[in-house]
Amino acid sequence: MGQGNKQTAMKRIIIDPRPDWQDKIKQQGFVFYKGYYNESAVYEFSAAEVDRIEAATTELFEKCLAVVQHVIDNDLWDEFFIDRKYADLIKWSWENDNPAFYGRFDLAMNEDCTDIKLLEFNADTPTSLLEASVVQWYWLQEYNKGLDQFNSIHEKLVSHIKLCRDYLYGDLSLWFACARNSDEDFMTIKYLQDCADQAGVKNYFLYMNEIGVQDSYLNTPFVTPEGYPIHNIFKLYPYEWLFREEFGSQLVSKRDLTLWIEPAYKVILSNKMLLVYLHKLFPGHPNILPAYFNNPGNLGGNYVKKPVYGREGWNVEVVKNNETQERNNGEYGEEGFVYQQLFDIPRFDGNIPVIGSWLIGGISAGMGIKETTGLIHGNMSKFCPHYFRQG
Amino acid sequence: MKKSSSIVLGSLFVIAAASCGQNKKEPEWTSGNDAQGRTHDTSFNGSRYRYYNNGWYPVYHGLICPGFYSRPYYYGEISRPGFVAPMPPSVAAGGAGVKTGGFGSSAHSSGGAGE
Repeated sequence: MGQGNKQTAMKRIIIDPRPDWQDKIKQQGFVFYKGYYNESAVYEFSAAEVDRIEAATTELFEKCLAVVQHVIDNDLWDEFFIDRKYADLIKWSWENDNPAFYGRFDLAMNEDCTDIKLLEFNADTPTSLLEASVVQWYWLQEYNKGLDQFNSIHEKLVSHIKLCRDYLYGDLSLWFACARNSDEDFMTIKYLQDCADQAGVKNYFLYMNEIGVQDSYLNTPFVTPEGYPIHNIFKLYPYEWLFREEFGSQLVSKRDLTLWIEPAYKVILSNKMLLVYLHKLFPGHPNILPAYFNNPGNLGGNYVKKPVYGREGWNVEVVKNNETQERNNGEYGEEGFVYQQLFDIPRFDGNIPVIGSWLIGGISAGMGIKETTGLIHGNMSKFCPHYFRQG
Repeated sequence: MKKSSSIVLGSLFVIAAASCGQNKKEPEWTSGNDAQGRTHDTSFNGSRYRYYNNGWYPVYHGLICPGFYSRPYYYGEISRPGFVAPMPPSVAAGGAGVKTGGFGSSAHSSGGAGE
């Protein structure tokens, strides 16, 4: 790892937080900031660096879509640990090009962003949205309005949801759902509902466990507990969970009655096996790290071991020179592990930043930076605002 | 363009932020009377609607539930053939035979589902 600040364009700058920053960000809906948000430091980029991040994001998304096509063409359901009873649903959602709102690449980079690598793709249930889209933008308005920020997430979300309206089923209303007990998920959903409002899409909220089925009627969409039909629903809830739960098979039988956003093919993109197949299909690609399933291959004892289905850094292990540097325990890993080549991200004031690069409707739309003093980015990482300088 | 030019958050989002962490509250019901204590109703497709706060709300048992809807409906919406407004949660008339709980169980041991 690099040590301290480097004299390059990308910098971490210590700043004074706004005196009333807690009240301000809470008013912006950022209620889950404690121990997570850090506006006592800001990352500065050059315009050229931002251009490189944007280009890498576009390039990587194209390659990821090629993997989806490859999985479908070659029926690689077992390789991705996807129950074959969902294969037709996934193919249908792909061939039909069902509406997808968003995704976030986690990218590693060297000091001047001339070397950018994909760490993973949070394609199905990304969070960190509100702080990237809204909170850091409002921060910049107070810090220095003259500076720029790689962030048009909000506008792109509103305009993309407006576009998606033409593809909605039935009454054209859109329900939003998330699991209970997570303020972050709840506020992410509420923010997306606000974007839907601004896009002119009628929308409602319910929790995942409130989604119902009417057993007496086979040809009915999913319903609310009161029996009102849900023609369209955005869920902040991963497909690998939906598929194994009681109503999972009804995703298939009701596919023409209830439209689910994100679409089912996202289960391929959010799966860590994506990393293995990106490397398999595009070996030597400048943005793709070598990755293997269930063995470290020729990674020379320098790798990050990640569960096929994992979340927020759980069950991740960082190995350098054949020695474990850091490991998070958790409940994931029953499907096996992906071994991805270790990439040394430079430290800035002792912190390792990772770029969360957002795609809205498949278009690169902005970024948020999370940093950690450890090697594994999980739910202990801290979000820092950023800006970039022109020229 | 890389930079947002303007971000305005809606009032419902701000309310959601203020209430985050509290239990989801049932929206309140009202008669929808105007200042003179009168109501103004109309019917389409077998459903009754009441004019309130510059728009129309479905009437159930003589009351309306504005808090359930993100905004009132326009006349052009309620008069559209086949239009059906969703029912607020406490109107369970259509809920017979609904089974819930088939999704959401995986989150219990894992907290949130986002990443």
